[in-house]
Amino acid sequence: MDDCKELALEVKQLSSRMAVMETRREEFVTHREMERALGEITREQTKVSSALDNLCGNFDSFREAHDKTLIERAQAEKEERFERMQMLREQHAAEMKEREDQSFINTLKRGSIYFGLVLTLLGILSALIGGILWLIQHNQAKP
Amino acid sequence: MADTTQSGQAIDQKPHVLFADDDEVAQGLLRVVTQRQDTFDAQIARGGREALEMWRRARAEGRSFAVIVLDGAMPDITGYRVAEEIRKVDPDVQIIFWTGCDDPISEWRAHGVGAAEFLDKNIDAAGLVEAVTSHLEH
Repeated sequence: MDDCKELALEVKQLSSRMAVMETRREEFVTHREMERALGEITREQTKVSSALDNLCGNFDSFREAHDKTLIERAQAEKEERFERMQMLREQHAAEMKEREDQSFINTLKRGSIYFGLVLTLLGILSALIGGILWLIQHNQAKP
Repeated sequence: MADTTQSGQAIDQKPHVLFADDDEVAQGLLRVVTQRQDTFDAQIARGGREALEMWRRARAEGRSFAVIVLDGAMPDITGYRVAEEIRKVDPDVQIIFWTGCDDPISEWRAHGVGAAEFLDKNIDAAGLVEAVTSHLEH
């Protein structure tokens, strides 16, 4: 009977130790799983960080490329504006020259017209004077 | 608008607005438009670098611009880069982009630097002044 009791006690103790062992094993498994998960998280973090670095690098180069495009565009526009201004300036100079030439021609034309008019008037005046002198002479010659 | 001190020196209380554009025609238009109004004191920079210099000089003198209007594409430095430089130091200034390049990337970059407005250059001058004035109140 006593042996039975001792055996029962021993079984109970063993069961209790088994339970403790089981708990520890579970804890160990959980710990291992956590470590594994932590490792995975760290690896993912490294990947994300690296991807982020790449993205930032890409973003910087993308921004630089966009800046370059805009600067080139602005420079082209500036050159175009300069050429347009140059063309307008040349056009204006040509127009001014043409206007000056035209003004000179007009002055010449006007001068020749006036000169012609003066000559005509002089001609008429000479004819009148000649006529008058002829009449005077003609009247004096009469007896 | 101008107030005077006891010594009779005039203090201009009007807010300062900085415009930056490399286009001489746009500069002329801005000059005409800003002279017609009395709400703000306008300063015009002929490019991105000059705009940055004017902004730095103003800060050194203890003045600040309430609104900065930038052309996106300028031949020396882009308006977006200018805005990024300004934003590093002054997160409160109102930045308006007034640009002929209304592509989505430009708009996205303007949004990225916290621009208050992204206006097309085809907007009439009165519209630009109206936009600047509305942002002065913020």
